[in-house]
Amino acid sequence: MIRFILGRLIKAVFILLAILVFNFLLIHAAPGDPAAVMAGEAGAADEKFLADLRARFGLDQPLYMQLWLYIKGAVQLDLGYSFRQQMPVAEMIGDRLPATLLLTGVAFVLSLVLGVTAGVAASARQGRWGDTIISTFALLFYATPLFWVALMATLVFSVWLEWLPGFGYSTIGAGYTGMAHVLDVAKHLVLPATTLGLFFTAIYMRMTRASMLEVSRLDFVKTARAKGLTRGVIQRRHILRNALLPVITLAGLQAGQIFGGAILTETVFAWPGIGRLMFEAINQRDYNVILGVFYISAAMVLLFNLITDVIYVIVDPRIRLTT
Amino acid sequence: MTLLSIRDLSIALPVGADRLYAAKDINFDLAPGEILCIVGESGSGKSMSANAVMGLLPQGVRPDKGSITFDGQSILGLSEKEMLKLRGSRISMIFQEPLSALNPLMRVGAQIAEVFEAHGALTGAERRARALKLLEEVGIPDPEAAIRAYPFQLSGGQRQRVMIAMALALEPDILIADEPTTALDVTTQAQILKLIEDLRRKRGMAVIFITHDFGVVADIADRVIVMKKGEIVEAGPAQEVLLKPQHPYTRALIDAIPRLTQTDAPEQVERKPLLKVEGLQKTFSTGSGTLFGKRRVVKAVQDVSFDLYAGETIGIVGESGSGKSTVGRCLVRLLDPDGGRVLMDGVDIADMSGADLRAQRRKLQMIFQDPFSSLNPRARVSRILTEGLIAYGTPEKEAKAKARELLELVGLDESAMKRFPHEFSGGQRQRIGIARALALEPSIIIADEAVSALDVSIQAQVLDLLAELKTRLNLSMLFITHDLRVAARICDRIIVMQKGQIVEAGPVSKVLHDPDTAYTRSLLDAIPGQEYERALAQAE
Repeated sequence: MIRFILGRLIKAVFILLAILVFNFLLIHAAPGDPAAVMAGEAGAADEKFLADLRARFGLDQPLYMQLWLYIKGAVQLDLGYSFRQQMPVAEMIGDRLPATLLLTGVAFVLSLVLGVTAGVAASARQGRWGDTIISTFALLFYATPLFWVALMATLVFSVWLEWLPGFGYSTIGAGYTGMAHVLDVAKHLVLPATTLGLFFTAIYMRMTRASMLEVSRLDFVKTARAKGLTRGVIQRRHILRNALLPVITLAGLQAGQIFGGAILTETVFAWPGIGRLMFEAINQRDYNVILGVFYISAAMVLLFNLITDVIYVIVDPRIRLTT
Repeated sequence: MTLLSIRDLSIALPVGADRLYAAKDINFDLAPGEILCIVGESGSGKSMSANAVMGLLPQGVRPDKGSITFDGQSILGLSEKEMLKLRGSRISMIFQEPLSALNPLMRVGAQIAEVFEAHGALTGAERRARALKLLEEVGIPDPEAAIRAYPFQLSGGQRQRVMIAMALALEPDILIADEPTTALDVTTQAQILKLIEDLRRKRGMAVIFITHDFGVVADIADRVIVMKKGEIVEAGPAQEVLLKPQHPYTRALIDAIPRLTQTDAPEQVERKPLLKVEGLQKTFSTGSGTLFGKRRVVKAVQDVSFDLYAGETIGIVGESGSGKSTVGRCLVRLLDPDGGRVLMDGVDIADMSGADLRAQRRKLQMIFQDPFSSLNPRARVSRILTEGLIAYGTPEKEAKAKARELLELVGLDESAMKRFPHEFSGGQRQRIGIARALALEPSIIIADEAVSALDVSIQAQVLDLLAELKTRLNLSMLFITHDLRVAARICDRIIVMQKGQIVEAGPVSKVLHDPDTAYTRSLLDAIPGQEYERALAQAE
């Protein structure tokens, strides 16, 4: 097991490096000169000022030199300097990361738990009313655009009912500490996390339902029935465990995606996370910030994939004992 | 005294099925300690009848009328809760596919212990001890290891033993065995049959044994029921049904059994090797042997050499895992051999590639085992048959004309061209598979277990077809099979393989009746129904 994780980690490092180089080249292939943008915004754009700017940020060096310096920095977790915000990129990301991890983490767990539960419930009532109702809701969430759900949720729960705050991470200026702060953040978290999780809930529900029905037709389920086990035990112990395997694969793939999907939700709910940081950075052509966010996102996707594989290995003995 | 008695039982199929009843007017009794065999071809309703006793019919299928009385109690009227008490404790069941019948994610020990748990018997530690004893009783070599193993770590025969251990856990009065040995090779089959027979004697347990194999019936049955299309056509003591069958259907089934003694004198064949295989090697390894995984090496084929003459059929026989299929796959280059030479007309095809290989490949064609999965379900028969020809540059029109000829050759109607594989029966599909192999006018056909998945009467038809085509088209054939009866029927020479090596080779009459090695002897001894065959021969 340790050998397996170690092997995967070594592979991950190489993949991460490749992504780093690729992102760097991609950004530099895009038209537009950050120095010109900055100079333009500053209002002064003579040649000397531009050359100064370029020299200050190393933009006058040949591309391979810039790449080398960037990689050297990235390995030491120095992601460069944001010209716009006058701050190290690593520090900016460090400020925003916890909020994003909180949001996506809660949304992910929520969607997984809700989705699997609803899927099991639907499969147990296949073709009957309960199944139809659950499946209809899933289809609705699946088909509705995220931003619309977000806006409607704000309108209903925040503006009309005034139950929950509609934006932000915490109440500004309230100065809560301890439990009061936690509760405050939790309140702010409800709408964005639910919005972000709904779509995935629908996907997990559909996947679980289909997988449960498929597994329930397999021979070993008949064996279990022949043993005289009750329906509930067969559902839990025999069908669900096997049906979860494809759901785990899917969840692992989407754990990375849910991270990217947070941009929209963070923007609508003014959640101070990585997604919004990136959105702002793209608007401002803040290359180092964009690269930094890409880098962290890639690392997260790799990490989630590794976690998925480890879970898979724990759950499925066929993989554990043959690789 | 009767333990189980079934009266006028009819099992209705859902509306829209190809017939109204899965089984109709079924009547039989089962005495304690008796082995009752229900014989029939696929779709005869034999499994449905047995499933009805367990209350395990598929959704939409239900008993329509009649009664099932077990130990004085009417089963059909019982609630699900009352049925749960019977299932696994007083009536238990084992199935055909020992791999898929066990939960892949649970340890063997836990799956056995579950039976006790379901019926509230024993406590945790006792359950484990009892499971261990059961595994020992069913003859698992290392019960301590097996109890912690996952199903995929056991061989097919061991898995079936685990299934039996599970079924026996609470000492049931009746064991229902639904084709329990069909998926096993002949030596394992013999062991499992013996185990069931022993357990029956030791415990006085009644057995309902469902099978399509008359050899198996002859070896274990006390009484026999023959079913056809949902109805019982003949029933009686085993000796009577087997030796003096009354119904023409029973007679036809018995006639279709390939006889070991029925070996024709080998035809005089031209002594010119068409295919020369020299020192063929194939090793499989998993894992890279580095940090990324442990290396595991299986020598599937070791130093295999033989000649195949024009117009000759060689049978390659052996147990599962003997490497016989790998040899076939190496020859058509579905697998790349690691060493050795494969000479076709003097040209070595063992490490050819690209256009050269393609040019040679059409001379060697393969027929596969499973007629269900070896045809593309989304392709019409016309495409299945013409695809190869068109790939080799035949104009489409010509290819279609050729496909129609082929269909006629294998005994199918021209209208088959427009249909999809699922519209055909297993036997018909195998005919399509044969037509596909013949489309490219090969000189050698490699048939990998080509008739193993078919019912015995269909098997006989397909074997006849292959024999006829072979003479008509002057084909050479490599017939890979685990069934020595089939090999006896169609082959001129036989090669016996064990663990990747050839242990014996020679003419059929020699290998099957006077083998040189103990291994071949053990294979032969394991064939079910040999005494019966002698008795049949005497009666004739």
